[in-house]
Amino acid sequence: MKFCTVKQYFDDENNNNVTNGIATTVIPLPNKHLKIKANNKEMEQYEQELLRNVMPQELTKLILAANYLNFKEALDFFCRTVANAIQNKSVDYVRKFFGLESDFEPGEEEKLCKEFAWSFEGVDED
Amino acid sequence: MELISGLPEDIARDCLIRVSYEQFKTVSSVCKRWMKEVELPEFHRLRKSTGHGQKVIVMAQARVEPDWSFGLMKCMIHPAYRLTVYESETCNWMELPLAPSMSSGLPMFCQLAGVGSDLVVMGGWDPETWRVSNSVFIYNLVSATWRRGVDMPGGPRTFFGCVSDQVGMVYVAGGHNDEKMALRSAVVYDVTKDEWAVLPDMAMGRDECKAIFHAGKFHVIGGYYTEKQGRFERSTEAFDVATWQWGQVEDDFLEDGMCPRTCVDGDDEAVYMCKGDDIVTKEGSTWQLIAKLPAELCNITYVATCHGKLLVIGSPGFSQPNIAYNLELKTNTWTRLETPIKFSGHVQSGCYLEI
Repeated sequence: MKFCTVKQYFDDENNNNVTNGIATTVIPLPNKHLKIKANNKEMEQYEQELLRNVMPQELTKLILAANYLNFKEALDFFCRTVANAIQNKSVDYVRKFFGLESDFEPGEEEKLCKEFAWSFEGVDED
Repeated sequence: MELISGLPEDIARDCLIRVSYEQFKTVSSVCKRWMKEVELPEFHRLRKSTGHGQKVIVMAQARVEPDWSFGLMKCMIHPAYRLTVYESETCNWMELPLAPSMSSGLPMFCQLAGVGSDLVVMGGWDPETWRVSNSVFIYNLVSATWRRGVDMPGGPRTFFGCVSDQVGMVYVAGGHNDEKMALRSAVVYDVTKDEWAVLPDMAMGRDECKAIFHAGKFHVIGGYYTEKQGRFERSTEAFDVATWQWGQVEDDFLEDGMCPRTCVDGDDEAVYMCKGDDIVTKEGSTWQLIAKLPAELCNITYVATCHGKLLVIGSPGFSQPNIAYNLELKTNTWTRLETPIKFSGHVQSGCYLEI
């Protein structure tokens, strides 16, 4: 069933923006998942690899592909990867990663920083 | 404006609901759209219903300086208490910030209760002046902010039983007043409305009682009345919220050698507690053994239920570091948990929350 959906995905005209890079990552996913499903450490390493080498926009394309293919396990994995991109990171890093900008008033932003200074201690280096 | 550029709203939300609660503050500070998302009740409902809620035990725990030996701790008669959090699935420990007015630590002997994502800190003695306080402080684990609630009504109350119904109310009963008279009175706090209501009195005063919320009723266990200083009752009485009445006193609920402090309500509607070296559960009118305590746990400090497991914290001896164990209730198997020195202090009270 998975192969039919994959073929349809590539035949579908609307998906002509699928690059080779995405195809090579998404297609082998089922196999890779089966192989490393039992091994949490390898999953973690794969996730770190993804976060380091795959730009946020590519990651969203992976998510969209997994969603289209109805590949629930991959979707779950990628969503978790996105959540982990925020883990222990500074607000500025998160904004940069997701391409977001602050739309708080200067006074509001300062208040947030002061109120929650303790929760921004010990974050990873950007 | 999209939550995450390039992703449909529901998938973007699927990513954000997986974020650990400690990062909610960061998420809220990114932009207004993200702040609004994290504040939505639906966000948290979805988080829990899809199994991404985090199950934690929050405790009022003595601070331990890592480079002090426990021998030295004996000389420190009144260590400062602060809030620590143990997360069941990740086995992570962390510390929460205290309210600005708690510069010397939490009130001594305060009680904790969890309602939704609110942690309620009630009563206790000022750690500097030892003055009894009926204060109510609330910490919201999502917004990471403190607020003050309306004080407990009535005169000063110490060593009372306190428990939440996990829905919206915190029940308080017993304890003693400033003349050391055991109290029969009981009150209930509505966290959302920040309002107190008075319950009918119990059948007897119960100082140092334990409270649990079980099978839809507020149970007050043990304690002692004024004339019987320190000689604990084995009875219990239960308040039916639906009828707004106390039931008959159940004598002999406890057996000899049972400390009511260790009594907890399980998710499976069973009641558990420690009896000597055993963990027992109430079946009908008798207590049945379900597991023996690990040899290391000679002094039990704290017991809590968390998602099908019993968290039991104790130490091999008085003023020795505390160690935490989990008892898996389905299989009755123990797991020793890694307890960093920083989180090995005495636990005064605690509660369960799912965020």
